[in-house]
Amino acid sequence: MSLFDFCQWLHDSPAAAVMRSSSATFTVINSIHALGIVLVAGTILLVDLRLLGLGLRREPVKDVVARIIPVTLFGFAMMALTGLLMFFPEAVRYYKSPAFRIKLVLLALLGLNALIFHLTVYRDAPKWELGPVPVRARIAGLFSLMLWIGVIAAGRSIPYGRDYDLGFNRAPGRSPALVARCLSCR
Amino acid sequence: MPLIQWIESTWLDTAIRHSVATIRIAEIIHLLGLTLFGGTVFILNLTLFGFGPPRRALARIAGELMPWTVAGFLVMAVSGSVLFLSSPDRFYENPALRVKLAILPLALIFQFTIHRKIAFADPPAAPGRAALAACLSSVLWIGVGFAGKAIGPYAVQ
Repeated sequence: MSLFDFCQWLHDSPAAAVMRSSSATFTVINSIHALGIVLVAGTILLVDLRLLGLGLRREPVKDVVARIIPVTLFGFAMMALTGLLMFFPEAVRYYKSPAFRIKLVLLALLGLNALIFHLTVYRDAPKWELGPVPVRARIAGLFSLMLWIGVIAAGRSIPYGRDYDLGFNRAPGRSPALVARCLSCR
Repeated sequence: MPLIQWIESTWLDTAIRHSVATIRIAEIIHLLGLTLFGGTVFILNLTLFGFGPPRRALARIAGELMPWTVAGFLVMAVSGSVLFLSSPDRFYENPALRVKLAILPLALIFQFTIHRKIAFADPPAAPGRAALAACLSSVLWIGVGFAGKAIGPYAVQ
């Protein structure tokens, strides 16, 4: 069974039918997913600002990271869950969407960046956390920031594209973007 | 409505309405502004609730986060305005946007008056008061967020 077949199977499942049945359900799940950005990207932003020396400068790095990360992980679980719930009913469309694929790749890179950071330069945090931030930590912060901006941009671009013929590719005029914005309109 | 017609006749609005790229970029910037604004407000509320950073650091954290909060809000206001300008007549009639613009001043005023006072209090405000302020702030801003997300579905009708 190929990946496409799997997506087709998800698309045809009864759970997907439930998600498709009500536009309100989709909008609520979508809203939770969008507001989850605050819990995940918003908190990571503060960690990144700390690593880049731009914010929360007087807090020790290990403190900032240790206190914020549990919240981030909880938020990420919430986003993954709502993301899955949105993925099910439209699995085939997402499969075809380049923006969605880019988003997943960027998320994987974010995980990799975080892993490398935690396993290397973060280990020595007590030595440098109250002074200037070492270059490798700054790079980790910068990559994290850029990747998050990419994830958000890619996520926002999902409803637009060749396979979403919601009029977005029509000639500009009376807000074609508005029509394309609504993923829940069928 | 005459005001809307006047808006649509301006050079700026015509330019925005005809540039799909501008609208898409404005949407992304709106979300990035949300990350900045929402993230800082969230961390502050978290601290007020007693999670995350310790309470004794409240005033200091509030002071460090405030400029970012204001910057984030400005980014959202500007990008939100650009989004509105992409179709003033339809957005004007959008019920979700009306709800959002009704809650927004309440949330804003509360955030920068009472909530601000409690966050910057030295010595730190009592846990009960702090939690109440954080709760109200969270409810109001989440309301704004949900109303905002509902704009899309209502806009297509």
